Amino acid sequence: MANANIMAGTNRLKHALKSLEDHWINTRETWNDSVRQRFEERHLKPLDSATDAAVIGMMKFGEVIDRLRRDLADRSELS
Amino acid sequence: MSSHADVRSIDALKDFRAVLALYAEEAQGALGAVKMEARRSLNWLHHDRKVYWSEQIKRSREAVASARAEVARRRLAKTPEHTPAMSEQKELLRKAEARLREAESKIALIKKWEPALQLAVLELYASVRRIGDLSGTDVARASMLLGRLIDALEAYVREAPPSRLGVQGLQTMDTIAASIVAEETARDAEVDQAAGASSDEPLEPGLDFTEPTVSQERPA
Repeated sequence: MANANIMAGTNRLKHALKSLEDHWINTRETWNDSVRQRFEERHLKPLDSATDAAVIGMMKFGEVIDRLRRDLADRSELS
Repeated sequence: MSSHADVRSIDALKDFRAVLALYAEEAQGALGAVKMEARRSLNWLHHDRKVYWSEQIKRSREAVASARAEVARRRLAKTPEHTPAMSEQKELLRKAEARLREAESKIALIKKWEPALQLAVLELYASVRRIGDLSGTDVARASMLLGRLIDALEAYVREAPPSRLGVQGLQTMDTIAASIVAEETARDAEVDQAAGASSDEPLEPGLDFTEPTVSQERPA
């Protein structure tokens, strides 16, 4: 299991994007012109792939630090 | 989709602008927390663990020396008539030696982990850099554009008589739209130029570790 703080970070990032996208769906219904399309292409769509890349990187890092903590923990401290 | 301006609710734009600000705050907060965790891990490895296991080595060496001395003392006390009990002392010595070996192996692991963790942090920073830029600078820019759009629409609605809102509203919006598109195109060109010039900048100026010079695998 990836580090809890990292997991919380990835969830927060994903949730923030989901919330933005949900609100955008509502906004789209009242704004339907070429500027809206450009706005979406230029400012919103890139967030999706950038978030995916970040989440993958964060999860990978979470696994690394879990391994690090396991490797260098003192088992006698835990018992 | 209309090639002319088609905005039916200024309030919806305002709401979305507020949501954009919230998004930026949340995303930056999430990235900040993750970067904090990375710094904590670096600190834990470089300071906490190093100090802890070095101290354990010192203590274990003392324990081994003491246990050896006790076993030796009992061996010397051995006579044909009397053999002092030694199994407990030997067990203590065995445990102290095992603990010393463990502590020494942890110090060796720390040395292996140092470049590996630095590499992992660099990879993490590389993976979050784009969303950091987008949720920081770019979302702020998007919010500014929406703000201009909202201001212009509100000003027009406030000043224009109701009978002229339809046709002139479209013209006003088209003017604003053209201005936004021109501005963004110019800014994109500036960003591309700046990106070319700044490609050698460090990933994260605030991080106090040197870039790893090895690309070794992480400890298994």
